[in-house]
Amino acid sequence: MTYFEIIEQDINGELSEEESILVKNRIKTQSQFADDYKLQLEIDEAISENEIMDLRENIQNIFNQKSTVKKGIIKELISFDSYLKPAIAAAITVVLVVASILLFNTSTNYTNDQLFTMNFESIPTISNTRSVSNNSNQLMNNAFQLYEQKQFNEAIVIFNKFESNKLSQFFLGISYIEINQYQNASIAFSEILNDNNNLFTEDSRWYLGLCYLKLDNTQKAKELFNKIVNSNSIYKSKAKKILKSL
Amino acid sequence: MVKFSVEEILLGIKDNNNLVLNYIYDKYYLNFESFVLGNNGSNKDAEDIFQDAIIIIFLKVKEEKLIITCNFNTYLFSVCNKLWLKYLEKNKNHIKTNSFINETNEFDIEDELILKNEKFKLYQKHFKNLSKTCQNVLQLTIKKMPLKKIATKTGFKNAKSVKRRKYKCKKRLIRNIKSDPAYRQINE
Repeated sequence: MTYFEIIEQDINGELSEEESILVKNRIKTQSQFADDYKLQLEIDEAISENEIMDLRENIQNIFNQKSTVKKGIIKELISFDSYLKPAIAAAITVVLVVASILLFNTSTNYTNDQLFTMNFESIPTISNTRSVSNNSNQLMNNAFQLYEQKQFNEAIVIFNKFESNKLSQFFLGISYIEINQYQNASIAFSEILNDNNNLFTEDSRWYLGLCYLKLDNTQKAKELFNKIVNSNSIYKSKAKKILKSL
Repeated sequence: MVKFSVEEILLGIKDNNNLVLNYIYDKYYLNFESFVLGNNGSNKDAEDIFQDAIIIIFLKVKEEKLIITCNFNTYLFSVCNKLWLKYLEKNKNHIKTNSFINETNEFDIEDELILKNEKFKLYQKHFKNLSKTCQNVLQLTIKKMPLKKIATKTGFKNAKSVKRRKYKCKKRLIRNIKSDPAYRQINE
């Protein structure tokens, strides 16, 4: 009988009492034998656990399905490629035009709070179907997915990891607004404005102005909206109307 | 999204309920993946750890009638955290950087349970790679079904052929397991 067969037969209770005692002695004295005995027992236990195997298989299938879906609809806003920026600007513009038409047909005096509410609109993320190229991009994708699912606190954690990225900082600011943390939002937008040479300056100035309205810092809000009025910003007419109400 | 209570989630894991498993993925996975990616881990690391965490919770539910007094998120991340730390121990090129690591240590997940999961995962992976005949013969003999009955059920000539096949299959399984690098890693 081979080494393997002795172990199998002992596990299955096929050995005589004397033979079984000999096996037990070998387990005590021969470590290799003891290890193999243990392995054969463990394998039997593992492969009789159908429930675990089924569960693992099911979880894997779910992951595969989700991963396929995720790859298909993935939002790669990440690499901050130039083609994304017009798309973001376009989304913001649509929001603004609609808001302008709806809200500024008449000139009335509003409170800062009301002005904020009338002017702030959530910004949708921009879809793009490109494959994920690295961890950093994947991480940013996650942030935008969280943002889209309105899990702003979770998205903020990730956006905060990309301090030097203006797109990330911009959506960080917007996310803070969404959870009513206007002070933090103003910090994020101010960071963007510290570096004048980026494509989010115009939008950040506008949203920073709105934050100041919400923080009841009318003076600073006025300064920003005046800057916007004196520029060629897409927010020019909206800023002008806000100034009239302040 | 449908919401489940902690009890419903645990029951769902125990019953391999698709709805609950999908819910767990949708609600919790993305956050964990972000954490792993933010700490130099890969998508594969995140997937493996998250899946193992669910299996470990299954083992705990099954063996100990686990009762969770906090929310499921806290418990799940506590298990994930423990597995992540184990992973870092084995892969020393990763650097512990995120505060998540220190936040969720309140539950003790036994090392034995983690080891059991690792072993089961390895053994079951190689078992699944065997032919269907081998899988059937091995499982039926473990269940102590008489060899003669197995022969009738599976189309073998007689009990002796079943036994011969069983030995052959199990030897192959052991050989495959032992030659897997993960086996050496587990036994280090």
